Amino acid sequence: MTASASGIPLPAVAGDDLVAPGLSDRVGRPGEFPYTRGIRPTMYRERPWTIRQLAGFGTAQDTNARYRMLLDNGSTGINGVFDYPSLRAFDSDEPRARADVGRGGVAVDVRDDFDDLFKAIPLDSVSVSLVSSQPIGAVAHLAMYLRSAERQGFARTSLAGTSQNDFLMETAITIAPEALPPAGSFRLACDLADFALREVPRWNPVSVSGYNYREAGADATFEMALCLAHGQAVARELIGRGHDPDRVLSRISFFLNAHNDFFEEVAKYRALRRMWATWVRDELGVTSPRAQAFRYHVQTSGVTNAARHAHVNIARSALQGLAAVCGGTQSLHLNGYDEAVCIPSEHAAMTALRTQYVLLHETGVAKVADPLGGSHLVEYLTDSLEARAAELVAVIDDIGGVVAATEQGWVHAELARTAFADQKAIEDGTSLVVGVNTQLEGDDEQPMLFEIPDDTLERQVARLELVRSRRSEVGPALKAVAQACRDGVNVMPAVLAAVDADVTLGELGLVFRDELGRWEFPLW
Amino acid sequence: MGVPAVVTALQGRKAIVAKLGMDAHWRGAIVVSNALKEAGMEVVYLGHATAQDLVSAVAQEDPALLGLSTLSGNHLTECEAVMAALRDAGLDDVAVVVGGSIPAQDHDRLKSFGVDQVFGVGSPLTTIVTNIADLIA
Repeated sequence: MTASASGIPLPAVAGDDLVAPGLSDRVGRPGEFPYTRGIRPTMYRERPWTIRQLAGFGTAQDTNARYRMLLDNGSTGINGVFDYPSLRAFDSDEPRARADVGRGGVAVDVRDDFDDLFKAIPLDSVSVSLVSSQPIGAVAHLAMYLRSAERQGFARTSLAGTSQNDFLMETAITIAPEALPPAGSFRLACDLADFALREVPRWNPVSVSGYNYREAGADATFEMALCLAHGQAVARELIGRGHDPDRVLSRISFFLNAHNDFFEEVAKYRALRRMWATWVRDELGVTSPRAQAFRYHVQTSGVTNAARHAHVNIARSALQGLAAVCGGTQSLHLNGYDEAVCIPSEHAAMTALRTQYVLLHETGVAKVADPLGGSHLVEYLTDSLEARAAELVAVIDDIGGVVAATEQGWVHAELARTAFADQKAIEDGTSLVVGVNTQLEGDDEQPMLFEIPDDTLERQVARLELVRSRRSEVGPALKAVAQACRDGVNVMPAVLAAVDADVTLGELGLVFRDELGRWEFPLW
Repeated sequence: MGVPAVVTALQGRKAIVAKLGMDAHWRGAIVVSNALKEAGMEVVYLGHATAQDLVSAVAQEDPALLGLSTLSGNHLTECEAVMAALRDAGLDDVAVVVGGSIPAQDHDRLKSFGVDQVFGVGSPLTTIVTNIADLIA
């Protein structure tokens, strides 16, 4: 049987018999409930998607130069990724961190790093996505970012941006030594969000990272279900902490994958908007358009990129990006063609950036909202994904919610199962991938490998030592953070005070691990 | 190509699989662990391990194979440290393979540290399993 990537049966020809009655009610108009067709009445005519290319490597100075190159050449937002020690709140000179400093992202340890990272960037007009994926790092990164911005004269109320701050990233999706347990990580994520809702009104304090769930092994349906279950858990927790539901929902955002199955991906974005808006209205009774709107950023799929014939990845990213904009994304990153082997070189990054402008200016896709709406196939896939994802959300709810499902290892088991099945489908030829199991002939041109500067670790450790030598006693500030953890009050005020005392990221991470616990991934 | 079936040479043999440094990607390590298990191996998945952790684990478990995974670019530094620690502990008779985002240009360097085999991006499970069977037969 021919089926979509997530297993939805596909007929050879999609006719109107494929689409259940009542379509116009399910679909509505762009900018109106249930937002199937997009969150704005005329979509990209009123505002093109934000061109937000991911960047980060070496030290803050190195990455600041890359940010500025991207902004000077047409990026319209910053998308900053951190190295693994920085994501996990370990200092760069920690023995097991050293080999990863500045790789896969920028190294940050102290507030001064944020001064360098955003030097000469107008933070009150450019929105900044901090890809602080793990809550343990995210709380410290946001505190350092705010203090740094304030020192440069930007009021926190003027800062627009996002913290990824996703507890599943810390406890299920990306492995780390000494991960926090799910409940502790979720609590820190919500502390950040609780604080930002009160103090940083233009900040999106949680970006539910379906992108990474997908990269770890989920199919489209599971990506959707985890996004919905997680977004709902965050919303409930923040409302439980006394926030206005309307305000909470206006600030929760999502981060989705653009994978290979073009029509299924378009349908995924449409179905998610409808499911979220319906949940917000029916479960929470919230009716404002801003609160019902499912807002998201998209990144093209890294795992689909091949190392062989790497330039073919330009075509993959362009097609995946086309699905993202046909689906109505608010923001987009296209991967560099060297994604499978290294972080993007300047050439790969610029090629991806220019490809975004091909989508925007040349394809005509931005002229009409929801250009595939009404297609028998796309409407059928939208309805089918909605039904399948709803079933999975019900399974997660039955387990006791997304935190419990993570604690029990259910999320890990599902991801590992689908990841293995995906690989087997490539091995047995059910999935054909150019350069991997078909079209292998011809020259295998390797892209020029991008290398981080040789002296990255040396420069970063020097910075860290300088800050340690100039500061006075940090013990009391760290004790206050520990006390906030124990008392169950929001940790952010204590973290901000600790940043003022020049504590390092690793010192804060140690406090959180000591207070909230260390957790072994139930992966195997 | 086909899905690896049980491989006689691997039947009942033990493998330790671990992540290096602070690399965050577990997908490849777990997919390969599953393939080794299907092929008949007993797999001990350690998660993140330092060179000293690996020395202790190899001393304790006496595996036929040590499988190291990394996609973050830390492979040269980390593998050099692991191989030196195994040698110092007199445990370098264990077969060591490394997999992940490892550019072709680094394969020889890794082998010069004592790594037996390197599986870069796109390596089919079939290749990985048969190479390991040859290595530890």
